[in-house]
Order: sequence, then C-alpha cells, then structure tokens
Amino acid sequence: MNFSLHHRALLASLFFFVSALNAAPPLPGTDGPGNSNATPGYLVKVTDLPALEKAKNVIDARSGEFFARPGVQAAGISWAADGSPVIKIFLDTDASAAGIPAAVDGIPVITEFSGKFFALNVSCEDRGRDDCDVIRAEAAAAQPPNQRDWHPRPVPIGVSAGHVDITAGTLGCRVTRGCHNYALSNAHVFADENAGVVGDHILQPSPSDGGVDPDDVIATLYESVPIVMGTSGSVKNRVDAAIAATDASLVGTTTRTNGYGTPRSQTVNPQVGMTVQKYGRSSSQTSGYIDAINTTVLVGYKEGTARFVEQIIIKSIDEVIKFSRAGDSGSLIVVEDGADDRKPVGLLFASSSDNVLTIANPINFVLAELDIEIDGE
Amino acid sequence: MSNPAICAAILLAIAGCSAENVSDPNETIVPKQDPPDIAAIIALHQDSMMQAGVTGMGESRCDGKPCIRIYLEKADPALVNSLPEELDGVPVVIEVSGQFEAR
Repeated sequence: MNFSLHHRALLASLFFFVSALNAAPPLPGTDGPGNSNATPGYLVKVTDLPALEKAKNVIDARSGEFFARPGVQAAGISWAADGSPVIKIFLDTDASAAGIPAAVDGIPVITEFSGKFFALNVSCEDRGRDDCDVIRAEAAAAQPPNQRDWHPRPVPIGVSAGHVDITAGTLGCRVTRGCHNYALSNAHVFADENAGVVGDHILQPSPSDGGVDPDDVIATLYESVPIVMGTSGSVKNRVDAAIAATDASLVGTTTRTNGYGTPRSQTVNPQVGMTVQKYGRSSSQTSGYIDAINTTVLVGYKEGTARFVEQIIIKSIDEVIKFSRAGDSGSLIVVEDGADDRKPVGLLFASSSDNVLTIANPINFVLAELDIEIDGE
Repeated sequence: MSNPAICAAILLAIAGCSAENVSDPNETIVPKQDPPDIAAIIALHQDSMMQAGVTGMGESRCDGKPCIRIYLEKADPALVNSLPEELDGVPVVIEVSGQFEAR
C-alpha cells in the first residue's frame, strides 16, 4: 500500500513540526540536555534563522520532486550539529539513496531508512506483511512489565481496572449472564461504592495507574449491588460486587502468565483450612488459606462503615508476603491445588489495616445476587 | 413351599445371625453427636458480641478443633474480659485485627 501525495505531504508537515519541537532552544534557566553542553544532534541551538526559513520554502516548493523518487516516504527539516538546517529524506527500507542530491538550493540533504509509515490502525495484512500470525503471537506473549500497566485488549484478569472516579482496583474475572459478557469486580471498584450510575466508564488501567477516560475504557457499569451502610444487626450485606458490560475483544478470561491461569467455571463453597490463591493489581499472584467462614465483620468505606455477614477471612501462607494489599479489591479468589484447583471461592474486597487478614465475599453469593456465571474453564 | 419363600427364609436367618454376632449387650451406647452448627451459634450471638471495639466474629478452627474467632480493633483488656470463653460449648478465641477497610 502506498501513500497518496496528500498523505505524504501531511507526513512531511508533521515531521517538520516534530523536528522543530526537538530542536527548540532550551528554556531560559533550565538545566539538563538543553544547556550549552548539549550533545550535538539532540537539542541544538538554532543559529541560522534565515537558513531555516529557506529550508521550509524548499520543502514547500520541491516536496513533489522528492516524492517522485521511488521509495521516498517523507521529507522534512532536521538539524546539523552546528544548528544549521538540513533536509532529511526518509526512505523505504528497500529503496536506494542513489540519485538523491547532496544538497538542494544550497540546503544539505541527508537520508534515513525508515520503512513505510502507517496510521496506527492499519492492519498487519494491509501493511503487506506475510508474517502477521507470528507478529500477533509475539505481541500476545509480550506483556507489559506490571499488572498495573495498560494491557493490550483483551486484557488479562487480575489487572488494574476501576471506575473513572476511584483510585485503583482489580478486574476480577469475566462473567456471563445469558449470552452477554461482563467484567466482575467490587461495587467500590466498579461503581465508586454507591455513587456510580449505569453506563459509567470502567478504565484499564485504573485512574491512579494512568487510565484515561475515554481512551482506556474496557467496560461500562451495568449493575451494582448497593452497599448498605450501618453497623446494627439489621444490616446484612453479603456482597460488595458489580458487573460492567464488556465483550471478549476487551476482557479475557486468563491471568497474566505469572498467575494461576484461567479460573474454572464451577465454584466451591468456602471451608476453613482451604488453600486459596488470587491474582491482583497490587500484590500479583499470592497464596493463602481460609482461616474463618460465616464471619460477621464491620468494614470501613468512604461513605461509612458497613456490616457484612457470612464472609470469608483469609490469612497469608507467607508471613512476609501478605495475601492482599490496597488495590487488590475485586480479585477473584480460587482454590489452589487438588481436585478443586482454580475453582472460584471468593471475591476479595477488604482487609485489616496491616493486611494480615483479607476479607472476601463467598463467590456463590456474588453469582446468585447478580445472576451470573464465571466465564472460565 | 415355593422357591422365593425358601430364599426369603434363608435371608432372614442370615440377617438374624449377623445381627446376633455384632451386637454386644454390654456395650454402652453413645448417641451420635452432630458437629455444632457454628454458623447458627454466630447468628444467634452476634448482636450481643459485636459491641464497640469488636470488628468481627467468625467460624474457624483452633488447634484442629472448631472454634469461634472474635476480632478486636485493639488489645483492650476490659473488652477481652467482657467476652465469654465459649459460646454454646464452642471455644472463643480472640484475635486483634485492627480495623477492616474496603481495599
């Protein structure tokens, strides 16, 4: 696929502005690479403004001439080490620089083999490549360094995600209701406790991890179980859960490669002593054991304190590496090892302030309350 | 006597012998005891247990046996002394958790 002259001219203009920005003189009073000891070719001081104007005019007047040569992809203004402007011609990798003049109208010309330029949404096949399957496989295998980072879509489960108005939380897993896909997490992660409304944006990564609205939207709030604030015996929250509408192109079903993998679709009820694991935004893959079930517990929120009943309490197996940390809320907790390995058992939502004790909703309450099923193995 | 009747008679005789062989008239019969329904005990007592300074109570195991854990915001001797050592026969074990927070 080749660019029309119009596209090429756009690229040339774009290149001019980028080059000009890179070459801008340092701001007065600033240190760093822009000072007088700047590395030549990085930030240089524009010394010859008339020559710059002349170079711009040459590009304007003769760009058609440049692009008439085979393999030329872009032409723009760059800078020599002494700050004088040069014309830079970008060539396709299989093009030849032969015949390109050393100077045009007195302005030196240099070449660079850049390959073709493409708009970012041009598909691999349209770029004329015959190794697209390999490229895609490599891209899928190459993961961002951290579960807090932006992830290629569909995103793994257990990574940073949250409502546009919160700080950070974890995408628990993908679930289904009927033939529709949803992302599952806590109400305080996907619905800003009780403040969110249907249609609110869920970002990956979470806002405090750099998620930008609307560029990083992976789902929209669909349904949230209200959290009733209060500590009296009449307050009986069982779940802190919400689902957000999404699809398989945005949210996957498996953790990052350093996690437990894909949860099973079939769930289990919690039992004291059960060994469990989770993958979450803050502490990644961790293991623990269920230390208590049927637990009545008071949990602090932004809006107040809420009483929960029939909850799971989990302790870390490792004294040093806690089972969860702030930001892991929403993580799916699954069984570790044995015949029930990776069967979901809980939805992580709270912990003691020293992180020694983690609290989770029994997953079966969550599935029943929201009428959903785990989209797993 | 028909064949089925003979079979039934033989089966009855075998069953009778077996029963005689295993039963010991001197054996003390201990009624089978169901494990305590700790969830029910917690539900029954939680309103009186969840007083100021108590952050939670749940079903756990302590030294391999069923127990009820009561979680406290801090180590408060007066509060500890006010809590029972057992509830309906199930031992109570106290643990300082600090406050729980949605994370």
